[in-house]
Amino acid sequence: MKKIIFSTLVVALGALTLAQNQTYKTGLEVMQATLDRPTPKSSIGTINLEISKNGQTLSRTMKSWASNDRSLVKFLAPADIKGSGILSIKKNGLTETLLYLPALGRTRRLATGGSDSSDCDGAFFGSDFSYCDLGRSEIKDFNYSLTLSDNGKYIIEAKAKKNSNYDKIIYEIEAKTLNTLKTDYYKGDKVFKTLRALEFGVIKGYNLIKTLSMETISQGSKSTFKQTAVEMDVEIADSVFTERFLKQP
Amino acid sequence: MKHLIEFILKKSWLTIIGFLLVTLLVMSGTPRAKISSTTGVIQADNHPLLTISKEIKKTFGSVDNIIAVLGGDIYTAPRINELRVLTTKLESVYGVAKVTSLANLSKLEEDDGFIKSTKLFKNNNPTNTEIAAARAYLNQEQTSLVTKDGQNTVLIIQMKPGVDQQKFGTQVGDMVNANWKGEKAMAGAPYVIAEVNRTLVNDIQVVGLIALGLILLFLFLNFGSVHGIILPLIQVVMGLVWSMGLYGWISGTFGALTAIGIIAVLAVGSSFSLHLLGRFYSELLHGKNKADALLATFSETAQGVVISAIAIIASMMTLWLSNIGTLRDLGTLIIFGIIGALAGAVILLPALINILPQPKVRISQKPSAIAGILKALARYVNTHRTVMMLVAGGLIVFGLIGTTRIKPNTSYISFFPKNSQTVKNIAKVDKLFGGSSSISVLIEGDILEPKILRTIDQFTTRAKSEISGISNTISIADTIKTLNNLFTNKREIPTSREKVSQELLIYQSSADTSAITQQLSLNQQQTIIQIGIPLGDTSTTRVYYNQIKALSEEVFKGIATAKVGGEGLSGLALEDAMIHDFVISLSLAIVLMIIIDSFVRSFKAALVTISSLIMTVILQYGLLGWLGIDLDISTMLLGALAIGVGDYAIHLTVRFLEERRLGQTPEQALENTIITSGRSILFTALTLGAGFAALSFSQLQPVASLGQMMVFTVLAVGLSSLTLLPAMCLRFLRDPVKKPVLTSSTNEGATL
Repeated sequence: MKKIIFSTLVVALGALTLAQNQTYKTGLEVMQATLDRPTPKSSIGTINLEISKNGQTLSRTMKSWASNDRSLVKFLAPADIKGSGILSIKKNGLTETLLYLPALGRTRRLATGGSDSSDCDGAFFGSDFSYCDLGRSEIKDFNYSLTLSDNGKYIIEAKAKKNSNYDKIIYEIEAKTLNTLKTDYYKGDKVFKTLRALEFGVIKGYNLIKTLSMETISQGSKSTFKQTAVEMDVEIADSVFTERFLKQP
Repeated sequence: MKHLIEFILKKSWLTIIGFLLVTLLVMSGTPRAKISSTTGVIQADNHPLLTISKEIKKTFGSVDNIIAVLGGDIYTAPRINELRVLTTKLESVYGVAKVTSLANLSKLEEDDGFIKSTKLFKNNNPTNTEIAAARAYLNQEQTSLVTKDGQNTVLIIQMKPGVDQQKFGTQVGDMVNANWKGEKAMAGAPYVIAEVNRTLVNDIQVVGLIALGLILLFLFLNFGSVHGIILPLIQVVMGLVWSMGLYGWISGTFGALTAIGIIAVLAVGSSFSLHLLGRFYSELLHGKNKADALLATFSETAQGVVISAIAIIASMMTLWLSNIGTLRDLGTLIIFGIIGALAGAVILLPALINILPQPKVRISQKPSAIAGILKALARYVNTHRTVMMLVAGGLIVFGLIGTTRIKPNTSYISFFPKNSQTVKNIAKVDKLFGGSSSISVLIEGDILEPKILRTIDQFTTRAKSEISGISNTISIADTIKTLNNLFTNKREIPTSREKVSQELLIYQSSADTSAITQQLSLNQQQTIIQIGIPLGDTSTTRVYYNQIKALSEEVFKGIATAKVGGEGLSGLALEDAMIHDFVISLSLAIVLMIIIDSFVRSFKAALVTISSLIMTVILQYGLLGWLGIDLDISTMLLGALAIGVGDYAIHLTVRFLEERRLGQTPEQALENTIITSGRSILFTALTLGAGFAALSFSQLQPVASLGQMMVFTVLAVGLSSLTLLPAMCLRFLRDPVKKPVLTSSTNEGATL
């Protein structure tokens, strides 16, 4: 689960087609519309992930290739992890993940086992984003209500139907583009984390969130996820999604 | 003062109504006060050790845990099920950040080419085979979560940063007690603090009532009437109400030492009424009517009471200089109480006496037994003044030798009696878990460099082998070795920085990373080594601290910077601050007493009186050393309290000088003084002693020790005021001073 979310990271979060001007009457309709927007079939991009807490920062840069159910991520910086990579391929409902560590000179398969395999609450490479945050929401898991609709924004409150990582999520969605500008994740009655879309761009008709940040309120930490050099709907050779390419410097 | 009493006598009802309205206003502030006994409150404000601890907390989050040792054979399916239920329930308790137990323990393992993170026990009702496999894994990993024989397992409940420790400790304790059928023992700062708080609430009620009862008993013995009890009772209740109300208005916090403040207010407040009513009855006894007796009492004796109150307030104000918040709060609480008790004594009391019928005064046909004893004592002092001085000198030497034996101890464990269940629980956890308290070593450098990681590994190995009592350490080196074992089948630190970084990267993508964030700073330039130590006396903790500091300086020299800190050392910081405060507050209290008494009487008289008090203080601290009672945050107050509440001794000096100016010979003046002022001094000592005796019933050991020692102190002050002080008056104050002094025209020792 984690790995397939990771593989579609750029596609899922970053790029959605521009929405048509249309009004929605319920929260569910708005949420469904945001998810129904077509996504690119493939993408290539460079991602800079910066984590900051207590005045300290940790920066990691990676390049990502994604096409359908396949993805490859290779770390570019810092130097001590350069060349490390993860290849994920979903086949017959199962995800196989290969990881390559150049310092060890070996490729290994990576998976989580047993009941843990469905757990997406873990931090994405130590950042404030969890794998769940980076994935596309399961719309059926929540009840939605449209609590406010003015200033060209929809405010949608989503309450978990059953046990979920969050008890409540409040989305602030731009009506014109259906871009989610801000998301507050609640645990109990307190905001646990806040996601903000900070910068947008348009590539090939897709509305790309170029920069987004996630802040964990209780811990005072913040992670910023910035995409650059993004290409959409490009041909990516099958040879990219191979162990051989994974191991190339 | 004369104008005030004349106004009160003219407008008694107005005074009473006005006083009650003001009291109601003050009282409305009470709900704003908070109850708390968090470590933050019983802690020094600034100390190098605390600075390091704050840095550790800021970077790595809270390191406060509750450790629960659960008894019973854990390697059975029902017990594992029970543990799973408890673990799950604890995860939803207030303030819980994480629960670690065998029930949710994961292990990283390789399986057919995969790296898998799996639960040790995946489902309820594990089979015997699964249990045996888990046992083999746990033995191999040498985890501290279960004892080798499987008869005890450990739950580590980690607290979120910034939550209320007391609430967290209470709710976790309740949950464990309700959901584990076997034996259980808990430890850790939040749990201990919850226990302190539970005891504190009980103490304030029980100890306060006992004190009130004992004080009223001695008031009855002194005055022998209901009138002599009710009036002081109303007055001290006003003192308490004002104390709590004013404290609430400044949003004060009731802490572990609050009971001391309440008792001090009760005891000192009652001594005000004792002096005033004694004088009032005495005036009646000598034929004055109620109005004249009130005028005489509140024009003259009230001044002495006001000065005594100012002296105590000044003494308690010295606590404001303390580096410990709890002591500053205690000083404030007592000051507010004394202000309330004083207001009750000089405003409400005369108004109440004025509107009540005049009490009937019983004139005794023969001198009372007490008067006889005091007379004999006066004669003995007259003829044995040199003996008195020599005995005092001997006692001072005895006391001074004792002070060299004083052992400071500010550990939280010292709050509880040695045979209490809390102490037994902590000892059990210490024994089975390898220490319920901890010292952290903050390492700064390029942490992921193999050289530093190997040094960290070497340090923990040496700490466990070279420092007796240390068996449980946690460091980033352990985590890296476990990871490397997974990748290379070698439980060792990798040979290059790249290998370390890349193994960590993969670990972060596949497992719970909280273990890493609690050990390694974000910029990878800082890490902490946690070393479990038993929660013992601060002297024992200081030995651990010195050994760990010396070892870290030796091992990390030239490789990385090592700083020693951690929550386990907060007791040391408290101890250092306490000793500093002790010297400052006691010295300042003595100086202030001399100054205040000098303004009203004479410098010489003040000096003689305070010398007698200082002897008592030396003896007091000497006894602390001889009896092996800890010098802690509570008993350190003995000196300042003795100086403050013992100031009533000056009444004897003043009376002696007055008798001399009236033309009596020094010997006759002394006899008259002891017979007259002696009774008030005796009953003041007994009343104060009775009040402080109530503290002996406290379940908090430092408070109980303070109570026992204060009983000794006030009785010793009383005794020295009737023996040593008269002898010193005969020696140093033979000639009356020129400065006008307070006068007392009649005896104070009347009975109704």
